[in-house]
Amino acid sequence: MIFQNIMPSIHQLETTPSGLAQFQLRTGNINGNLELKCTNFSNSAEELAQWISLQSKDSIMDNTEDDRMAIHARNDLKVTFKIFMTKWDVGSLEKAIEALKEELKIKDIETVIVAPPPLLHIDGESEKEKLARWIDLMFPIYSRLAQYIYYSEVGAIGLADVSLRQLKKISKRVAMQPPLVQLHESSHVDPELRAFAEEQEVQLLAHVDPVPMPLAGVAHALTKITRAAGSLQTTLLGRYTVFIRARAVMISKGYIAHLEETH
Amino acid sequence: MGLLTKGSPLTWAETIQHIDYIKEHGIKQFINLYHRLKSRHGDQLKWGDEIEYTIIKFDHENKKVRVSCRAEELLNRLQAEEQMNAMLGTANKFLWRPEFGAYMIEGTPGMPYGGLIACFNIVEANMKLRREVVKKLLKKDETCLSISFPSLGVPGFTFPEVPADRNNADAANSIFWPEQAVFLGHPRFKNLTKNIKGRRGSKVAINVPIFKDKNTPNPYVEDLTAFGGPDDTRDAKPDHIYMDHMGFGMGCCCLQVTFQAVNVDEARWLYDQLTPITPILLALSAATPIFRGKLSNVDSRWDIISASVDDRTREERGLEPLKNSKWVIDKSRYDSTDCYIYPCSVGYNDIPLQYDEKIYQQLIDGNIDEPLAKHIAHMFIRDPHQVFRERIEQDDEKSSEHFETIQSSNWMNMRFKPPPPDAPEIGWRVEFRPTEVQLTDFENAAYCCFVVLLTRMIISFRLTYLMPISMVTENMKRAQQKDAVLSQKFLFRKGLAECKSAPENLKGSEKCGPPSQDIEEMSIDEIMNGKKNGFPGLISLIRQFLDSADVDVDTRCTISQYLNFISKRATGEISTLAHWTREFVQSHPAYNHDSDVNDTIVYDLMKKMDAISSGEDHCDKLLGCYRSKTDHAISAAVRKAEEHMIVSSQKRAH
Repeated sequence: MIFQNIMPSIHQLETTPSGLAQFQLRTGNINGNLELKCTNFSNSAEELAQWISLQSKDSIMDNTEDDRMAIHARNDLKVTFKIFMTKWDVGSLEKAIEALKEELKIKDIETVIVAPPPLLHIDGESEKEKLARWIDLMFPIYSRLAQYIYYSEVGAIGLADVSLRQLKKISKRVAMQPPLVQLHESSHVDPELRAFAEEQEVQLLAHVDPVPMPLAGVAHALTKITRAAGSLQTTLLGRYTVFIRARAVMISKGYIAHLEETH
Repeated sequence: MGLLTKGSPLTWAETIQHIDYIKEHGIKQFINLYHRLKSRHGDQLKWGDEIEYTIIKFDHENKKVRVSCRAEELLNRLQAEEQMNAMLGTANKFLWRPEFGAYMIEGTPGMPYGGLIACFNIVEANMKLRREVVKKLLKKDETCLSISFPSLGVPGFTFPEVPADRNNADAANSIFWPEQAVFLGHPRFKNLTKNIKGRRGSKVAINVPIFKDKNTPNPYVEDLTAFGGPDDTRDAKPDHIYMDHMGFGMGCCCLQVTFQAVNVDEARWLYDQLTPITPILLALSAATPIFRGKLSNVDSRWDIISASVDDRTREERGLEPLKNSKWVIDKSRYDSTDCYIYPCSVGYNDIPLQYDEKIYQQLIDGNIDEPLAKHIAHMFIRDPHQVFRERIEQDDEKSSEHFETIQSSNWMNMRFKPPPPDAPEIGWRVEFRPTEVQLTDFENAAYCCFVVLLTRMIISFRLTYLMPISMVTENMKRAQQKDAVLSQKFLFRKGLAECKSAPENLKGSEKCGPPSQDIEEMSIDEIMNGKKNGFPGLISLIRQFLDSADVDVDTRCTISQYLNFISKRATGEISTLAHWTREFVQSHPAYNHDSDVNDTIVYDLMKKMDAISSGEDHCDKLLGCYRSKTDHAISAAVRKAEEHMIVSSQKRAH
């Protein structure tokens, strides 16, 4: 599959161990894309799919716009990156974080939030076993995030849609508690989790992302406009925002997505 | 509240000789201030609300309600705490100031709310605590409501009861309004009343269309012989509710929001961008359908206040040929703005502006750019009404009092506020002024937070909703009509548009193109909630903005509740206070369907409002089923996270 001639915002990544092509899509700053704002999307994957669909117009949208970040002092800005993972793949996480730093020309990111992949169901597995399996899968990802903190490349890490038990276990295993947990706006906050968060000064942030994020539409939209012969799946979606902290103004928003050929 | 300088105020006759001097020096003060502070940059978002309250006294035995003229006494107690805090070095939670009525007090947060999104969660808690603090000082049969009292000017509407004295020039010869109902603890209000009448050449005349109910006489001609003779009532119009004092307008309560911009450019730009939104919020917040104890055919106090401070002479009103006055002026000094002030907005300035050429030239010679010079010069067609004998001569480098005396008595839907010369912590600000005050703190917080969130969204997405300013004037008229939120259409931009020359736009000198013609009529529902054709309403855009922000669960819940509530007001699923009040009156057994809202009805209405306001009662029709998670402070975790970011950023510097 060759996309670059069609969409400059697609970068080829190294192939998977099984020889499948992988791509990274970067939208650049879509914050000022008014046409996109008028489309009907109810979540980030749909927003990205809509953005891709809009790329089928006569000219590629100028989404890189002015670099609004350049006129602000770095210390005035807060960069948040939420990564929706479909695979327990540390490498993919690293690539997304590096891509963001390159995209925004920054050395560090204030907040990285990870929405871990859903756990595949195993018949007969007890809750305890399930938790243990989740911890084993999460450990490399969380450890890598902890390293980012250690080297001051990321200021704070957060986990999305985790239970109190998961939070406590992974914090103990890696000896580092995430300072924030993201929960769906509509979910009732478990009183124990709230009490724990208050006691440990863990931020509970709200999101409106579906759990899990339905990513199929992204690959579908891309395949459609590029008329690529094969089929794709989205393996990772990263959404970043840049806010001017003391003014509550968003100056940049964009997506980084990883797509992979399917067999 | 306006400028509260102390001193010996001049009468109108004494002021006349000083007008040109004050204006010349007021302009000098503005020019000095502007150039000294035009490079000020980097201010963070700080904002605050102002809520006006009416102190009400119940007479349960006789089922009557009156306004309690104890504001001065209450303010002395409330302000004593401020003085105590100053002595102790403690921050104030609230600040209290007088307002026009002797029964009114105005409260603001002691410190402005900050620029973190988490700060939106403390607004309502601050408002609630403010109300509780006042209530603790009240007597058992008193309450404090954020409403405009419906029986202002009805005989015996005050406690202590004082009749109006039409021969009292100090009370502007009103046949309804006693002097004692004006706040007399500061000379400003009485002074304004007298000087407005002095300049106008007659007492003010406010005529509000009466609501024609099935038993309302047609035509409706009120018998005012009990109040005064033909000379006292000659300006009364048939089919209207007649009022004749500044108090009928300025004695109404309202809700204002002021926020700080990053610099003067952003302040000017936001002033413009919010101007087309003002009629929308006026319609959405409609709360005032009753005047002088009668049901009117409007739902808002706006035009009533406008007429109550209308100091235009007969010549200026176009009733006589120009001889002594310079211009025919279309609007009262309380009305919607006549011009935009950001350079790229000037294409939408389609209202001819009156201004003194000498004053305009003084501004241009002082290197004030044309749009701003025209705005200031147009504001300065209004004469000062608050001149103090001891304060005529001032140091124009240090003072802005002469400028402020005119600025603060130009009451418009938006106000552009330069930093004060003597408060370095305060930057360029914009005040949003049209909103009617609501009964409960939930509602007041909802509207305030909506406005500020709207500014964040507009700046973030660099949207423009500009349209010819004459259309804003037209929209303001429509917004006040009965049930405007449901029955009226408003001129509005029909598509999203980017402002190419918004502040911080890096596309260099790219300017916006010619004025857009992309305007159509939309309902409030469409403007707020969007249309099926893809036009995203204001609420949907704010949600898009919030969905991208890191917001803690409680703040997100609170903001969502506010947005859902306002969304439902826009569809009509939840009534405005005006609509709810009409329904209450019209279904009351003591109402005779003759537009007269008698004491019994007002008593029951105030009791019901008090119960709802205090939380003892809840009304889904008025409030829906929304509850916020407001709190007095941002969470410790959010604070810690922000502190951590500051520490990290300091490391980055090394």
